[in-house]
Amino acid sequence: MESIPSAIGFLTVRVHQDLGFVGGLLVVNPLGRPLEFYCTLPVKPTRAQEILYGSTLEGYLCGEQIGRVLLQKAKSKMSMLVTDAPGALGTCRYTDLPVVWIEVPIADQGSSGRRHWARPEGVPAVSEPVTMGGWRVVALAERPNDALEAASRWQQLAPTMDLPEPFGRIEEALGEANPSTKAA
Amino acid sequence: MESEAAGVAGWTEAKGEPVVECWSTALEPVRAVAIQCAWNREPMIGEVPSLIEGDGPAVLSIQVRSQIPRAIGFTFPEIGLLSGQATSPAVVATKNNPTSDAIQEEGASSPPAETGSPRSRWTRIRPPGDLVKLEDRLYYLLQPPLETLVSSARLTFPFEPFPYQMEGIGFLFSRGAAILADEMGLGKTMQAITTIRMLVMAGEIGKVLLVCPKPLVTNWVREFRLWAPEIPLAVIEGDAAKRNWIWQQATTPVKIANYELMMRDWEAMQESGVQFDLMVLDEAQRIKNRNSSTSSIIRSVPRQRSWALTGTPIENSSDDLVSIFEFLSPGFLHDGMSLREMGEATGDFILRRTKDKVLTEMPPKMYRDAMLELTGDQWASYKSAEEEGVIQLSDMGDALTIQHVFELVLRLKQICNFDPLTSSSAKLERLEADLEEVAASGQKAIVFSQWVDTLDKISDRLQRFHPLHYHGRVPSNKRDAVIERFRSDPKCHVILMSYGAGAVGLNLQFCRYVFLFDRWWNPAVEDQAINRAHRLGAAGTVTITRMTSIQTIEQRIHHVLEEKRSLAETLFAEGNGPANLGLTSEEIFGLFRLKRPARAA
Repeated sequence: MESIPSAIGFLTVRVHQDLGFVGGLLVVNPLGRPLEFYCTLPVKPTRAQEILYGSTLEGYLCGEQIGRVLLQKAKSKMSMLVTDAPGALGTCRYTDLPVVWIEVPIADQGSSGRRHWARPEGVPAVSEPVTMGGWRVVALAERPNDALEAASRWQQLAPTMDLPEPFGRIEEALGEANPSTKAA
Repeated sequence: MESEAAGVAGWTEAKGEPVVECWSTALEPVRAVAIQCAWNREPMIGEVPSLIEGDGPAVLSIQVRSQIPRAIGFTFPEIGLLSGQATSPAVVATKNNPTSDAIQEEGASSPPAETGSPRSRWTRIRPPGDLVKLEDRLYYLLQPPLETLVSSARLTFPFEPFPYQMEGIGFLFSRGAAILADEMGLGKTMQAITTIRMLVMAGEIGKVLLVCPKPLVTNWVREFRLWAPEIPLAVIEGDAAKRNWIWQQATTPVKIANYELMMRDWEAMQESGVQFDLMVLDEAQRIKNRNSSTSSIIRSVPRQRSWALTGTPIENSSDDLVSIFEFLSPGFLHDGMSLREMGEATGDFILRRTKDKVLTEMPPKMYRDAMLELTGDQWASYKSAEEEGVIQLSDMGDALTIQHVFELVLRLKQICNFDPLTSSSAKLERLEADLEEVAASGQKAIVFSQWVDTLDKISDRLQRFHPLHYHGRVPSNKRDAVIERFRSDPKCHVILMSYGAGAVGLNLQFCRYVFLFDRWWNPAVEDQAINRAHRLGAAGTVTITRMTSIQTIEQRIHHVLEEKRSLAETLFAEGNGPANLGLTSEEIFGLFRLKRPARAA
């Protein structure tokens, strides 16, 4: 089997009502220990951007602007990029890494215990879901192999962390680095 | 390009970045139709000049610039340790590895039903409040939860730590100065050892000095073997040459010394030139007197991190806390500070939990105040001794000191235990009766007294319960065997302990009964004694019988201490420490309604 880099990137973008979009990238080793962390200052779209980009604005800011910049900053070679912000999936256009979004169960349906899977508005066309680390992940439809590739690499690396757990860390770190965004 | 009846908009690309230009005007409907017709018209061959007279549409240009977001970031020490590539066969998850996943290639129509289960609880490492540099704060904030660190290091525990214990570990992990002040029995030892273990495994510390009271050294060794079996220990013991040799050993990560030896070995330790990454003080109230030589020597040990473990950070007064902080962070607290100021300043350094807050499922403590009448012989001796004693004290005038009062108190308390002439004892009669019940139910009990002589007298009358002794006259190298026998021998139903020897560090949670044959001056010490039995792992309700002789000095002390305990609980509830849990000199004089002489002030 071929070697893959052992670092894993976790990318998130949080939206603050007043300040705009704030991105954070945490690169960890398979034990979950932090290797690198980068965050952006808040990016606030102009009114013209809001009107002209319409529903594509989030994808533009999260992927093309924030994800791209953060990815350029990272020094470690990564095996994949995991995001919890569907808009950031577009980062895949600027990297060869598999980029996947964790689908989050919205709610339980009744007493059956079955989870309800729904995608929020603005989610771009995505690939078929794949299970990775016990969670469902998808990639952009234009990169249909990303999800399978990421899941395969995750299995090879066998990280000890829970897949969505690092996003909690990033969120706290964003609040620490940009205190004004803590209420986001 | 897109056109609408009300205007025309177009996109152009400039240097790879989107630039949007927008033309807008109010075209008359006729002109719009004309343009539409022109667009739909078949292409014409040849050049047809066309002159449009009049002003063209006004053009408004809006530049939608894409600014590159500013980013800041840090790299962490582990980046240097990253091998860079993971070779697949070496890291392929094993069948037994709970993190391994089967890749499911399922369509959206048949989603895996049991995916996406978040763990119910993560324990995060928090940066200490005094850590200012953003990079340092992020380093701790971005560490994985303790549960991940534990599983990634393949650490095993004899039993799963309680969530509050994980919080305690997270608290200590990031702190250079900290007091873990959990109530006795909540597992301060285990929390300290586990944190040390994780820091050692993370490579953050390599030289640890743990200082504890001498009787607790074996307990620490035992707990280390239980909670951190892979960490080599060195106990500072033996003759001077051997101790010197142990101090010199740089390869053993954890050294355990007792307070007394620190005094004797100070020079040897200094000569060794060792600088500790972490120094832990168990029962840190030992350094509450900052002018003592023990305190000075402890404070002089070169170290990076300092932790203090104590269930009673304020044993007598807020000065105790100031002294402990002189070890943790010299000058951080000072004498003139009010309790409120101290509370605010130290909030980030102290973690204190009580059993009623964190162990809601722990069996309760049940207090029984056995208010006993003295026997006839005791009463006669007591009355005579008190009357004569008070007269003598009154006659002393200005020569009266608190020591004189103290001596009378002790003499009267001893009479409350046993009549000096006949050895009759109301307390012992009650104790015998209660122990019959304890033994009949197969249970075990601890009896505390402040006098070894009293314990000996008790022992004579309790032979049928096979009493064991644990006090200052029992050599320290035999004490572990005593505890082990008490734990394992079903015939031994009672252990007789002095407050001094048995109040700290022992785990006797298999005992369901505690008898305080006489009362200590300070409720905090009594609490420590009680918590030998009422601690983690306690099998059921722990019944504490506090024996007090009514209409005697014991009852007066009891009332004063209860009032103070009530005050202390109120202060703790408000986030402050008690001013003084023990008796003040005024209160001791007041026991006999004596006025405090001016020179005794």
